[in-house]
Amino acid sequence: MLKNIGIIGGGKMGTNLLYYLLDMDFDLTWILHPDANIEKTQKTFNRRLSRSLEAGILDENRFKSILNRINISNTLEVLASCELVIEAIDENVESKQKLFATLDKIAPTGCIFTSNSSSIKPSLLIPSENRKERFAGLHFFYPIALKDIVEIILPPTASKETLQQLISFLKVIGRHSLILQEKDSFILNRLILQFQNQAFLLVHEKKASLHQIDRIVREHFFPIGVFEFFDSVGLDVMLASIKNYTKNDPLEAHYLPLIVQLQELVSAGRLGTKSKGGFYGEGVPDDPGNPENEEEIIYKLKASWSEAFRHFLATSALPAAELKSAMDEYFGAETPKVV
Amino acid sequence: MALITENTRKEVTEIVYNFFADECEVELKDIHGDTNIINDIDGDSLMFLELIEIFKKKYNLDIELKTIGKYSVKHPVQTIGQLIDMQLLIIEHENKLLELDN
Repeated sequence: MLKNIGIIGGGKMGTNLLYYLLDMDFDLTWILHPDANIEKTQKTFNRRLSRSLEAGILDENRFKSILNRINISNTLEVLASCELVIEAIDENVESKQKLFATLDKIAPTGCIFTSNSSSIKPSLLIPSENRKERFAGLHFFYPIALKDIVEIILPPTASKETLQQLISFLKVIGRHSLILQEKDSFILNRLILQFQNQAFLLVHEKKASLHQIDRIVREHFFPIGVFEFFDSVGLDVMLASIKNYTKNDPLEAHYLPLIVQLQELVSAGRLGTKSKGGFYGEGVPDDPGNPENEEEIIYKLKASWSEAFRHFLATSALPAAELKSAMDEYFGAETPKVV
Repeated sequence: MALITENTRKEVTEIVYNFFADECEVELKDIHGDTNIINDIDGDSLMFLELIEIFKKKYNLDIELKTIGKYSVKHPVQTIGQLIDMQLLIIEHENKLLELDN
């Protein structure tokens, strides 16, 4: 069993992953950016842990055991005895390639490298011939404690042993794995995106307002509206991901209006709920849309969802029930059945 | 199903305010019901999860994180006041939280 785990990245996902794995008996090494203030991070970490002790969430033994099993650093050299590395740095291909190339010279040959990227194919990041069998995507969803699904994305060169070790690791940490070949990578996000794009086009073509679309989506499809979802994830993050998903896609032009709109909003500093607004927020009046075309909008969205679901079912080797179940887990609610 | 009294509300409010003042290194006087957790005090969802663990322990609650996850998709929390209201609902309804939407 993999015991010595390295997490690289001090952002939202890296931090979330560290705290999720904290109480599971792994030896954890947390690598932050070279410019990060390690002392401050260590202080915050100790404070959180001490508070858990005071609140009775941890007992004294557990508290000491965790402190002994974690190492926070900003040098990759401390990963020299790691068995599994999970990278969670910025969504930038060059930065990730550089990181893995450096790490390849430090980590043992048996160490499995994984990337938590939500949009970059793992084969683009494999640093050397020696690592190609032990490299995969390990795509967690945020927040990990609430999302019981992780995509394992396998480049064609990944070995069966690597897959088995990753499946076992996810089982140990209580997360369900969705195993995908690289051509099907990020299937959940891409499936939803196809539906979201159709919803956006209805607004773009002035057939519905965004308030109307989100209300319909909440009533008939998912617990959260399309534009609420965009604002919540962050429009900059969505833009970068959509660009990666649609690059070299024959349907790239179909996504262009959405990409242009996102680009405009991001350039105006509208990043979503983390800023002064995104699709919603300052200067966006409530517009109920046109109730007369409600049935038509619902019909179009249902058709779009069915088409997207069938498309990804046909292109992947996944059983329909597994894809549906993964989608339910992603949204934390039952998603519409496709007949 | 627990009964929420004025005392419970006061206790929960005090714990939440002190928690965020400590964690986000801000003055207690700068935290209010309408303080936005992410924008105003640089908080995050990890803090929310930690608070849930604290209240689970304190009130011996039978609540799964998954239940809270499902509920919070429909009822996102942005301010300290909304977070306190949700914690009180969790204390009151525990794993039956989702039935509130039926």
